[in-house]
Amino acid sequence: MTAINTQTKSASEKDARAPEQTRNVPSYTPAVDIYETDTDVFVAADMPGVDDKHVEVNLENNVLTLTGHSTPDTAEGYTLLRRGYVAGDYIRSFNLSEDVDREGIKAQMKNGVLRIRLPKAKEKQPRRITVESA
Amino acid sequence: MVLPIMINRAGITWDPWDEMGQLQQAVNQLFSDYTCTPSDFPSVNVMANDNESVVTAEVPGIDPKDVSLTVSGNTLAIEGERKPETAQAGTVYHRQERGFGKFSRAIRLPYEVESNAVKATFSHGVLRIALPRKESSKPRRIEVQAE
Repeated sequence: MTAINTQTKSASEKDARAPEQTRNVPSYTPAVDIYETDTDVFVAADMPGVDDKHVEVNLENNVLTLTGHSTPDTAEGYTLLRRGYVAGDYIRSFNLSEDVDREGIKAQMKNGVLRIRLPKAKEKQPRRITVESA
Repeated sequence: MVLPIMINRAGITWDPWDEMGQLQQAVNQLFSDYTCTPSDFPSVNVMANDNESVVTAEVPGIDPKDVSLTVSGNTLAIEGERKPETAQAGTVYHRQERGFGKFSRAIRLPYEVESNAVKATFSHGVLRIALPRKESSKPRRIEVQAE
């Protein structure tokens, strides 16, 4: 029933696979929630500082890739007293199983959270068969 | 026990005790931020110049209505709540990495601020709070008069 598998790879393995970013900013693995209902799979990823124009959802060879770029705060004329975070890129990919209706995938960006809805393919949805009495 | 003082290739004396002292300092610094509040959520950056402090905080997925800011003297308190996802019946979770619940964090600013003039904006999950410096806390230059 699992429609999604997450890639868990060691850092070195990941580096060998994924092309490196050209931007000289740190890249993060966003925290995600993945859950499914009978009809859909939902992915929510925390990407603070990313607006809808700087986010990309890609599906290629069954790999769903989420990419987001956050623009660093302009701190001109200020002295940085405490650095709790550094704005950067968010990248994460997941292996999708075949049973997702690719045409129906929808993504939305709100309050720094990327939400993706992946409808399950119709034939994979559980069907209730009513037994008729004779 | 007497530890030997070593000299490295560059000719600089290496003192193991000094190294230990540096490590201790680094560890203390690492934990010093958390002595007031144990939470490190949300992550904040603090910037300041002579007239204004700016605090930015990463609060993804939080409704601005669920955040409250309090300023007293030179301390800014950020409090809020991140609501859990509303799960329908029959939902199966595969991953739940995004935390939820209440949070609070107090940030010490370099000077007292004008609490009436504090402005906060929220965009794409980042909270930006501009805190102008209190006029009375600004440094005043005193001329020294020659007799």
